[in-house]
Amino acid sequence: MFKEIEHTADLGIYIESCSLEGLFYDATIGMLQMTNIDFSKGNELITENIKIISFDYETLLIDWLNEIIYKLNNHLYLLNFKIKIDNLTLMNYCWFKKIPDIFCNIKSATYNNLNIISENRLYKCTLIFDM
Amino acid sequence: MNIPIAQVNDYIFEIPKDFSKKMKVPARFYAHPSQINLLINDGTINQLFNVATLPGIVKFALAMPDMHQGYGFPIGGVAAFDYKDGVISPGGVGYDINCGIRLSTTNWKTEEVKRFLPEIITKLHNDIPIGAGKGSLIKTTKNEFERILTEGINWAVDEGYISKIEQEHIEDRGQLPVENLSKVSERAIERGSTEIGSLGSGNHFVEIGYIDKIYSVRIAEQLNLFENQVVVWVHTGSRGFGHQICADFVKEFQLATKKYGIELPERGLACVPFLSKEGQEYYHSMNSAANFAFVNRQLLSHKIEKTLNIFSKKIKPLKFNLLYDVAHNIAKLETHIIENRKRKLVVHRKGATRAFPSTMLQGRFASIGQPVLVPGSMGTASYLLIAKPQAMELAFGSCCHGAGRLLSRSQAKKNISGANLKKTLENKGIIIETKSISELAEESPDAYKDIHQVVNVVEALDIAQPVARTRPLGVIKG
Repeated sequence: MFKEIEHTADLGIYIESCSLEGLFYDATIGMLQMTNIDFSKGNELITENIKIISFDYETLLIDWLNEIIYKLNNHLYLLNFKIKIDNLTLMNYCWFKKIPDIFCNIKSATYNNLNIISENRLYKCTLIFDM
Repeated sequence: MNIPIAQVNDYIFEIPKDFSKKMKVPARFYAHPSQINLLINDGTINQLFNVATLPGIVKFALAMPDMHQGYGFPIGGVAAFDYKDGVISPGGVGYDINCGIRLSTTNWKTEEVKRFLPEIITKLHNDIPIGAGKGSLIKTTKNEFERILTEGINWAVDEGYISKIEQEHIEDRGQLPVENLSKVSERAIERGSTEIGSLGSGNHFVEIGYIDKIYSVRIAEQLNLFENQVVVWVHTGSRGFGHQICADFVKEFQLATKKYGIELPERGLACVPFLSKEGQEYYHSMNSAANFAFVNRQLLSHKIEKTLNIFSKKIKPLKFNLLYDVAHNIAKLETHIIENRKRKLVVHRKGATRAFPSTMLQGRFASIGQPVLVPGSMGTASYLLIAKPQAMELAFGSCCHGAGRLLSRSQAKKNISGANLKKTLENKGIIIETKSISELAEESPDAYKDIHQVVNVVEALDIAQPVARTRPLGVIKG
């Protein structure tokens, strides 16, 4: 699950999930929902395997979300994805939809107070996005 | 954390250095007393406290009266680090490197323009690339794009987008030093080359306004300003190019910070010694993004002038002049007097404007002082100030950069819909054009602090003096 949290200038979401993959999945869905992009437009579908290797899970999450923001800036909206994380390597099979005139208000995922914690069988973190 | 706040005088507040062993200097902020609870509750003061713990910070960690919660450093923050012993931090600059604002004047008067305004705003909205992602006013070769990154406004002068005289009206003449582009990623180049000459989204805007009040007749005359004069504000930055550079270096600094044994209160403050290899690589890459942003604003201005010129036949021949262009997200190498000693400092301004008094300037503004541009929100006023000598003593030659946010975006949207806001503003005679009506509410005037109160604080502290106030006629929102 994810929920929006108050942030004066930017955008914040709190995420928790019972698995690391679930945390990444919910963070992605949360971010995409916050963009308010109308993805009913356009019809061209593109698939892509995205592989990201990083040095910790926080950086892996930031890298992944920034990759999706980059795609949005290239008018590609992430419709669906299969997520796999193995030893600080993320392998996602992604379906993008090409949308001609995307208006994306999110500019970047930030490290602000980012700390993925695992307690009581739940993975949790708070993400702040630069607007 | 319960942070003690001492009130030094009416508008100066301080967290004393002895509050925590982690603090290298006191944390100071300038604010209207009515804002204190808000600043504590939204975490601004905590973020300022964190900045005061960074290595090599000098005198105090500072925040201006438009401060609010950011990521890493607070927005409205100013922090100066010794260039030998101190650090440079992308979190102290922000993702939108050299996000900044420029004010241009015209020879048109409000009453001459008003009936053409809907047409002008629609035409500008159609002519300017708006929104996130690709869209640019010019196409560049790789070589040309690299010239923009290294030469900044000098490139624009060579290409005829601005005269050498007007170049004097840009902070640092629109060129910051770039030794090489070796650490600028291919992705940054790709993003930048397709976005040069574009407004972007969020709080970026073009505003057609008019001067509704002159505070200093003497300075206004020196700057050729008069009441009811039509003016143009442009607020944007380095677009995806700057974002990519910031993202690349914030990631790299996550490891580099550890390499240099720097302990951080939170990861958003990642930093490295300024003179380290990584520090210099970020500094020069950041400067290339600053040069991009100076050129970006110039290209937009050039386009706006061309569009307005179409209306010259209906109104009168247009004279369009740049008054000033300032960065408000940047880290700069500057010399300041600290305890009677000249020191080279890396001054971070994140949501803060440079404000150098006349003694610090050469050329056009040496007899006046630097213009400080303080835009308000879509429905309120904006201010043109002139920096005063006290800015050097109190704020490392810095001032506020706007009204500062008061409400979160979600709260702003709860209070008013974009459509209703558009109607409300139009009832006040302010025309709004935007690609995203739903996002409009995020920038509602109620989402911002009282701009008059913010300006009153910097005036009372003698950091800057008001010269003129403008009000909006039409806004193209990014």
